[in-house]
Amino acid sequence: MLRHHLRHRADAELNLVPFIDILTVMVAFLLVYATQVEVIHNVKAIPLPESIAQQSPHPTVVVTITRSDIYVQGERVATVPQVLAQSGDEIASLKAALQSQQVVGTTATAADPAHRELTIMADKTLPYEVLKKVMTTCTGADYSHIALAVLEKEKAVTAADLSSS
Amino acid sequence: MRRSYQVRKLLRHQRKPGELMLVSMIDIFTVLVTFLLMTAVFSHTVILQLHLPAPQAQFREPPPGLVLEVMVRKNLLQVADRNSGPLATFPNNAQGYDYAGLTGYLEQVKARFPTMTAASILLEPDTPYDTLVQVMDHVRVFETSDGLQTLQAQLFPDISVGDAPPAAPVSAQNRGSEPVRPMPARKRPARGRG
Repeated sequence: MLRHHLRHRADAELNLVPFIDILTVMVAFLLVYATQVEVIHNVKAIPLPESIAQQSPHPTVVVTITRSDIYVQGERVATVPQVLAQSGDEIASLKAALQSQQVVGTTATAADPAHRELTIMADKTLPYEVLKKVMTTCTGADYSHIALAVLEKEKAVTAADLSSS
Repeated sequence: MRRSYQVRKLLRHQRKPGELMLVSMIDIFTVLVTFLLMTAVFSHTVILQLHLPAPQAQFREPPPGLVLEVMVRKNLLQVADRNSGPLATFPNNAQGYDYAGLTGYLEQVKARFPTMTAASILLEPDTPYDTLVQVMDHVRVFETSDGLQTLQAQLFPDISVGDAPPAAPVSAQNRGSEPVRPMPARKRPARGRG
């Protein structure tokens, strides 16, 4: 019995080949995914709407609107209740922040006011009224190219798709 | 009972024919996989581009021909021409807005006015942002499924956004409604030949 044990212990080997296979595939797959650099960092706190849009974002000034606050490049400039309460369409603090030199300087095309770009990341439950005021302020601050950040919709292949082919 | 060094070396070589030293590679791979899994982002962000004219271009005479407007109300979607009034109304169905009906109608409009690319979306103040994005999607492109591939065909990609007039939904008179920003006038909608 002892001899039997000893013999088996001598041969005991882990078969690591499938493990290495899986690791190699995972490393290759994740490396490919990791090379797609995210220009806009997705914030978990903001549920973005889903869309079938295919255009990729490029680095611009980012205006983030959560359910309660409005941020420009990560700095809070106004609150949503305050914006809802005001009567005019222009948000003074947002406009000042957008025109401040340090925000303007972050866009590559700052020299030409006609081509200043801006990306709006907004909560999907946000009422249009707030969005309208923000967009009016953005055009008022000479940002004529406005992009809305959305999530790419997952495409599920349904049975109907298969049968129609 | 001691064997000589040479004999032991021979025996050792017979027993283990040759081995790759894989431990270091497995170490590196494990660390890489852990790191990449932690940093992986599986939701891809894309953008919808809006073309808004600079504010100094105050009011332009609306170009002749069709000026397409899609009005979003709580209980319906309405396609209208700014010059002549409502064209089609799609009441909500059980699932919410009737996007399929809207896209179907806009396909017909596109077939008659193939060079037209501009459309306005008019919304009520409390319409959620999500609805705006969904309506934009269905006004911009329509998707046709060709076997397993989904193709996107353009409808009216130059979208501007404005306020819906506060009038009664069905008999809305659009003549008085002015979007917040006038339509981009760089592309004149041309009348279709058809």
